[in-house]
Amino acid sequence: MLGWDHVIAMVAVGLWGAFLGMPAIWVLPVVFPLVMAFGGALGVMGVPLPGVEVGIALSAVLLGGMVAFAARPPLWVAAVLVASFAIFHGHAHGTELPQAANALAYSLGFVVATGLLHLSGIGFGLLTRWPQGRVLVRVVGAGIAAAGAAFLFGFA
Amino acid sequence: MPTLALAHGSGKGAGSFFSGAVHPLREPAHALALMTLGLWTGQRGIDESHPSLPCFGLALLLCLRLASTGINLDVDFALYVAAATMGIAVAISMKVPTLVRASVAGLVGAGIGLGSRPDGLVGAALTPPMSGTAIGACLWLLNAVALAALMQRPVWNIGVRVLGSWLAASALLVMALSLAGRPV
Repeated sequence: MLGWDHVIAMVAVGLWGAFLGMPAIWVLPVVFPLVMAFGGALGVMGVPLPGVEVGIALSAVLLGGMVAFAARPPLWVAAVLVASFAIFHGHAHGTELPQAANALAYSLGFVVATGLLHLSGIGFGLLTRWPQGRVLVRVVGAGIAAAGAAFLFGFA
Repeated sequence: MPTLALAHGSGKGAGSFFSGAVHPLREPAHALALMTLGLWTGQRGIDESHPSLPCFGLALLLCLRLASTGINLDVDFALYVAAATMGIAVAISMKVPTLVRASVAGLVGAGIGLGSRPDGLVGAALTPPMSGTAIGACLWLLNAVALAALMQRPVWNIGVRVLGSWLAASALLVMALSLAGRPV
């Protein structure tokens, strides 16, 4: 949870899900951990994946941008986009696993932490039920995209 | 004084029955398989869970008995695969025939039974921990079934589906760690 590029992208998933409404509000946070675990498995097993950090930064840019521009693609498009980025996040976590870590505790902890970040994004995203809330959510989305760009171009 | 490191030994300060009862929660493969089976079984309500519970219980008892005779199989990987599959089934709220559900419950019970023989014990000394495992596993399963069955309202049901995805994700990760030779 200390990698801010990961954190803002996780929150953006929840935010976008809340923005898209049902069923995306729960589909995206279900798809993300599952695919992330697959990426994590690749990382643990030493399967190389190029451009992991770029993928993570790009996830914040694109997902934040989706919220900022109030993008409403079909559910399957949103799910595929989220799933594509989840692989990079999972791979990064998988390669970073400390040797001494308790496997189950680590796995549960990283999955639950991801889920809770999604939940915080969803919670904030529920402000979209009010007109001012929609503006605020889109501003936060833009902020996430900007932060992602800062990570992408090495300013953060 | 150094002592033997036992994978399935008693916890410090706990009697062997109690250690057996919590053993399913201390083994990652058993814990994940039990929790996902419980959510999957209870997701469609208590009535639909009826055939699965006795199948699980009978298979568990039979395989605990087999394990006590010395049969020792490493079924952890199979339990991880089962947990990941059932977790995904919970996440997508997949409908399957009752016979399939009951069969899977039986297989999970068998796996837990076969993988629960305590190390370093023989004969009558096996009875308390294995009895504890039988009762503990059934109670933990019932808790998970009850949790899923009680969360039938649409919003709460989403929580069950999210929990299923988390458990499946955890099972996939622990499976990968196991394949990579990391200690689990």
